[in-house]
Amino acid sequence: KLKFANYYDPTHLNSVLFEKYCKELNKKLAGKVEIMYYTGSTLLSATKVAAGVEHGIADIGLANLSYTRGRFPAMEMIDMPLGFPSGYVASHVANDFYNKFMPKELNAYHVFMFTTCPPNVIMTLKPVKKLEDLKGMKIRGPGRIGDIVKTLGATPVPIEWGDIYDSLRKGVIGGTMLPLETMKGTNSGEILKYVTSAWRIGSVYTFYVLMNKKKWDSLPADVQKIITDYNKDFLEKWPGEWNKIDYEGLDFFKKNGGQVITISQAESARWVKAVQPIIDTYKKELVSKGFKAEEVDDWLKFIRERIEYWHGQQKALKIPSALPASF
Amino acid sequence: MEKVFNLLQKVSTVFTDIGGVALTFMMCLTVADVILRCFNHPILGAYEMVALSLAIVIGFSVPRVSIDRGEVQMEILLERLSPGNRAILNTFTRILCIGLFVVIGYNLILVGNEFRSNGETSATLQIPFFPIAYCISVCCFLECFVFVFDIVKIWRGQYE
Amino acid sequence: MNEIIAGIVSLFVMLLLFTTGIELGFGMALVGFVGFIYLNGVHAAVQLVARDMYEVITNYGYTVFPLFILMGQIGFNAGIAVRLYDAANKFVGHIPGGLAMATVMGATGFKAICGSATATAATFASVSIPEMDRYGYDRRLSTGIVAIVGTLGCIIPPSVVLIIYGLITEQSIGRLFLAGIVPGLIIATLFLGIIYVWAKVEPKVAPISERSTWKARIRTLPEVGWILVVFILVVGGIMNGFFTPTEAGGIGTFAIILLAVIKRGITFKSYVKSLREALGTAVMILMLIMGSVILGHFITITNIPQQTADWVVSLPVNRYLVLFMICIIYELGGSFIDDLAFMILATPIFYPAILRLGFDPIWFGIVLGVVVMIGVVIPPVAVCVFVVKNITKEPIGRIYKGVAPFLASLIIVWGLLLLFPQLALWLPSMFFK
Ligand code: NA
Ligand code: NA
Repeated sequence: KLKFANYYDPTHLNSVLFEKYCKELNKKLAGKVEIMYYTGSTLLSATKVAAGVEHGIADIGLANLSYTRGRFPAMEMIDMPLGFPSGYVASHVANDFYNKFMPKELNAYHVFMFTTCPPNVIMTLKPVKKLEDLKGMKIRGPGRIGDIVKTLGATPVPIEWGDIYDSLRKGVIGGTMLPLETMKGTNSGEILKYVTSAWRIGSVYTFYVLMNKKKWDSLPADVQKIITDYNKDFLEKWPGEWNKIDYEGLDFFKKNGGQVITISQAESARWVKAVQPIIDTYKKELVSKGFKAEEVDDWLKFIRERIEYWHGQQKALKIPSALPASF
Repeated sequence: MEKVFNLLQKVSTVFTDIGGVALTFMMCLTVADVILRCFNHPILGAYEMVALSLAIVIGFSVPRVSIDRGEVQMEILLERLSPGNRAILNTFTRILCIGLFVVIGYNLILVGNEFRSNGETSATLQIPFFPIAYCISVCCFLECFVFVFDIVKIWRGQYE
Repeated sequence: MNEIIAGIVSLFVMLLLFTTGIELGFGMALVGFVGFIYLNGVHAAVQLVARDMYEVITNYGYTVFPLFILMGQIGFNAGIAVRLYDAANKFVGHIPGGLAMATVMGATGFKAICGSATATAATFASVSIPEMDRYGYDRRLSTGIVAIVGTLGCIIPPSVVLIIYGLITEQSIGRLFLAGIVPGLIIATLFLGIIYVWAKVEPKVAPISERSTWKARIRTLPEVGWILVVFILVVGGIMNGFFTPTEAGGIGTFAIILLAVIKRGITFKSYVKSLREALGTAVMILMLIMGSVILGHFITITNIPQQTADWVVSLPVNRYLVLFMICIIYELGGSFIDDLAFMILATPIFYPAILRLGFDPIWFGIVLGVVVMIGVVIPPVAVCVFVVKNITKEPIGRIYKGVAPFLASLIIVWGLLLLFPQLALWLPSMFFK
């Protein structure tokens, strides 16, 4: 029996999706191994998933990098505002990145997959057409998103997830920086009026599904193969699901009278320039942790190439994406 | 022996008072954050600071509360036993508790080491986690000393 | 041994361990630890206990305990309870059973800032019982009402019981607070009614005391006003989103300190005393939670909660009967273990079943609150009654004669809540959508 820990509430897309994942995988495994699924932090809470899987409290775990800031320094590069146009693209880039560089911070794990949420965008009560409009605006942003909000000139407020709707309604915050998907998830689409589509600075939360390496090595080869094949299938599906709910979020927002603001190429370049210090600071941090500057530059170059490639794939395969491909 | 016990008591009291200072800090920080938020200047990372202060507030107060026997216990069976049997049973539970807190305290050092080598920090202010794990570990070991002294007190007939 | 059997065996072992007089929190932690070793190996288990300890005492949500408890403790040490009682006394003291009614009103007011049932019972046992003695009240009435009046704090905000429930089940504490107000006031009103009827039927029980002048009455009003201001600040601030329930603990404490400083009701010394007392209670609760978190993680991998939920839902009986049985289990469990401890222990096991049966989680929180109210006054473990007994030296049996009619009204309200969930849900639905 294998224990799969997921910190999400049982009703969230991520929980429902992985409940299906476990059910189907269990069918394929036909009793050779059974996966027990524990959602809603009943076994491991978000901050404990990585360590809990490493030490065998659970065997498989799902969480995102922001909960253990510093633990997976190389992978955290994917959380930088590097200009991801959709969850589909970013998810594939994250997996390519892992497969290419195999960061040693993940040596204790067998990686099932990475996926990312759709890119975080600025969603506000008052229109934001240029950087200056953000000045003095209070935007919900904990952690790294807070850093981004700050370099863009707004004031980050780390309001808790459950308080977003009320805080917006009462004007405690003037906007959020989250995926469009949350418009529906938190009902904030009823209140928010504007979305500024600046996907060139699009950043994501990177999720991982990891398994304890020792436990994985102890599984028979046929079981490993079934799981690996199934993960591949699933990875094709999951990023598309993210795009879908992101689209639904946007739809909900528009139905409630919301408006998407597209910015010009020149303005977009200013935003990109504004967030550059975050990437530079992180590079310094990585160097201080013992990585080489050239190494980090390699990563960045690779990520940018893969974004181009998968953005092309998304268009070619006609995968719908919520964000317009403007600047 | 008396001297060592007095020292333990003093250290535990100082620890509780540190906890009290941390609780006062927690309250003031919350009030300041709420007020400043009205004026558009929330304190960045206030939640994190408040959460991490809780470790000081609670962790540092645990030994003193145990000395004062402030935890919830059931005494239904205990009341019906002879003093000798009661002493044996109490010693037994103290030994179990020592075991528990040695395990927790020692492994918190390991967890702290892991936090330190991974460089894990809080999300917004990037406060490192490892010193907090070490602090709680120290409190757990102090708690063990309280239990050791409980055993001494039990056999001197001063426990109840 | 399969997981479920291992789980059930360890729950029995735990009950046995409890009888040895071990601290309940540590007992739960030990059983969870050993169980986890059995199912998952030593390495995972030692990591689990260390990380759970770390996580519980660095959890932002739990900061609400020391803060709200400090608020009540300061109110207690600053003599706010006494002044509230005096004020109520001036208004209703002269009507039949007036002094006992003043106790209910004073305690209800005091509950608005203090979440602890025992602290309230202790305060009023030393304040209002001597007063009632002076006018020749029957000890059955005076000790009975004081023993039960503390329980109002289980559902009148800021209730520690509701905070714990909210944190365990991840329900909004703000909503739970609002949901508790109406049932809490109904119970207080029923208490007043019972006192009045009792005093009318048996006038010897509560001799009439003197009537105060309107001048004296009006002079006490600012006292009541201040508490009302703090209560409205705390509950209103939460409702309007100015601050979260967790932050409200800090705000409320600060407001009470300010109030006490202005009224010169508090010195640095009594502040330090309040801090130490608050830390004592907060540590007690958090160590219970720490134990139950460790135990809970073990119970999770035994799959007992899931199986319980599946089983309960498949039962071919009315879901209200199932709910009734669950309440009885809480009542029985709370009779042998501490009621709060049992709630912390049992809620993760039964909560999934409650959800699956389609009951409203906020409403169930209030139902549990009333269940705990009943639990803390019925024997053998009845903290509030013990406190009153210790202070008044009155035999337990006699106190229970006084408690009985009030206890009956709690059971009635519990029944009303089952029949009319709106009693709890109406107020929160007005403010949250
Ligand atoms: Na209360
Ligand atoms: Na009881």
